[in-house]
Amino acid sequence: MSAFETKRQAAHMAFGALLVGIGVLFGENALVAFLFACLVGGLALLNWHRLGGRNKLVNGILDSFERRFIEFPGKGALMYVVGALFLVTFSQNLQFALAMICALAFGDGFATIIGVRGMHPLAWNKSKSAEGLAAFIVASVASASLFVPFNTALFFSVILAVVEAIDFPVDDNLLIPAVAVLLKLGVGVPA
Amino acid sequence: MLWDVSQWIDQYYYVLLACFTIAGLFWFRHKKVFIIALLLTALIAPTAKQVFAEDRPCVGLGTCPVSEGFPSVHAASAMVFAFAAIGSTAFPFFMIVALVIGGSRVAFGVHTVPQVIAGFALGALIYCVVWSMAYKLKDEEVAVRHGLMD
Repeated sequence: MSAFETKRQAAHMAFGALLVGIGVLFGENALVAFLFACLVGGLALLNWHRLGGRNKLVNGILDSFERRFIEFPGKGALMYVVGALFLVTFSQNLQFALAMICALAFGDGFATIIGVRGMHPLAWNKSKSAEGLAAFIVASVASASLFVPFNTALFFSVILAVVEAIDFPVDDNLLIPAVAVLLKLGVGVPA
Repeated sequence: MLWDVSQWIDQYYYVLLACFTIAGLFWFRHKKVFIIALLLTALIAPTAKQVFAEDRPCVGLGTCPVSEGFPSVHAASAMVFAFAAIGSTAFPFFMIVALVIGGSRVAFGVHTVPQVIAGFALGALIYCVVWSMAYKLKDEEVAVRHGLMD
């Protein structure tokens, strides 16, 4: 994995940690307000950039963290904010939302960092590895169990790891929150 | 004045929806993604209301709509328009309209702020899922044949 991709994943995890920190320190309303402000402000900035507007800060961030030759620079970050906002508003349980943000940030982040070095491709998706799947589960359980019981963290982490490893044509930053919320609605939050 | 605006939006909402949809079909970059997302929102948002079954703040008052409050369908569909306008000069207009519509639902007393923001989040998620799928499939035969990214 290139240094650039490692930097992207570090930023992915750092933003997740920031969201968790805001949720823990200031509560659910502050986290929702922050995410909504990021969404509206981010959309405005990215749209302006897309229409040809140039700003050193925006350009610097995109050059540092965005992949080249992408249709809409900043799309990944936008999807991340949308997914996190959906997670927090529809979970209706801050602890569960924070646990799933940990799964999204650390589970997905470590799955990518470890997975590209994996030597055992998955049977159902050759582009992903067993090492990446395991890394997702371990990182997700370790971080999510700070907010929900261990059994709950393990249950959701395993399901989300398997879903993330399937080659759905949907961004992981949307898929993981959507599946987490649907799973919570379907089975509740086991003790 | 906010009450008057809110009342006007509530009274002419479906006219506005139709006009904006027609405008969007001329203005928006990804027209099919927009239409699919709007239709999905029209299906999913009312279903989500049934699932969450959260009361509106006006429940018990004569003028209160009978449907549940979480999430706001008005906010969800308004956010689909805002996302569909990304990449066009119409984006500021649709973003402001989305915020005004969301605010009007709170001012009118038919939704709480969390219900409106949940509506925004749902509309955004649905649009982004459809957009993401169309983008990832754009080199696939089905996307090319149906011009999904047109």
